[in-house]
Amino acid sequence: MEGKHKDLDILEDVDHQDLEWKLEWAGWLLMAVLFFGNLLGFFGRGVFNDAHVGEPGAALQVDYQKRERYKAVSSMTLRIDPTLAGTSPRVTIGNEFISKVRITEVVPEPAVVEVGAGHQVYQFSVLAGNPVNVRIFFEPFDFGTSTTRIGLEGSLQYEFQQFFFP
Amino acid sequence: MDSLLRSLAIFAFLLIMLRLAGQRTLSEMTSFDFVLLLLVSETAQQAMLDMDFSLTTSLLLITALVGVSVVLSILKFRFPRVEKWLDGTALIVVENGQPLRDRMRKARVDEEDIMEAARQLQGLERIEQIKYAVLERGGNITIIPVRDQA
Repeated sequence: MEGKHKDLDILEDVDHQDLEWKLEWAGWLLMAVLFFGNLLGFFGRGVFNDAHVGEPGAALQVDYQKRERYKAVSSMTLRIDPTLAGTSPRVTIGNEFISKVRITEVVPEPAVVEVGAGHQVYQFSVLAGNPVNVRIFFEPFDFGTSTTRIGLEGSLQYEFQQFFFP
Repeated sequence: MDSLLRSLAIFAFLLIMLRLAGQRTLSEMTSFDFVLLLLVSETAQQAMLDMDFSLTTSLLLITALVGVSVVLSILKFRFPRVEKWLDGTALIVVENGQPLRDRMRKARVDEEDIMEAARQLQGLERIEQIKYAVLERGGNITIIPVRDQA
């Protein structure tokens, strides 16, 4: 109820104040959810965000994060088996991902980079033998969902969803 | 456009966070609060400006933020409901020497806070000497003492 106090010239609104206190509690609950979500890696590296595609022993496997953040440098790891993919594997990355990020570094450096219709191709020189890891470092410069397509040219293709927070 | 939207988002978010912190949190700044304020402003600045440190963007954002502040002040003046949501309302926490404990608990004000204000502002010694203690919108406590009957 709102109104002047019977004795004191003050506009109190106890009902509004009660509502504010309830919203305050709801706000604190939300803050706690965000805090613990962040702690558990919902917004960055952590159990709720790390993801993997590719069967063990496949020619290509990809470790990535389901959710990224705008301008936060992140990385994706490709595990390439040269016994299946060959010693000059050609990795394709779809344009939808490329259009939302700036690839800052690829370690090791690809031997050749080509631009195709709808994708880019990164060709690596790999010694025959054990599987190798390639890390792609990138920085999102857009936000929203992305259907990320990564694969080996002419064979294995993976597609997964990522979300870039603003 | 990007910077403007980010700045407005940060402005709104900080406003909501400060309201969630409650009135008493705003009233007195301790060293901890001061450090927190510095860190928050640093974090907010990075999010607002991104990597754009041009004079033009700074001037545009300052203009936008001050403009928003002016618009909000006009809205508060014209619509009392907006003022209530943005600034909160005053709340009586002691009436005729009796602490209103439910209100004090919800507002996170204890008797010691009230007596400190009573001593500082009015030189009072006991809670019975307080006619009204009001938790103001800014988080400070004002005291109206019992007037001696002639």
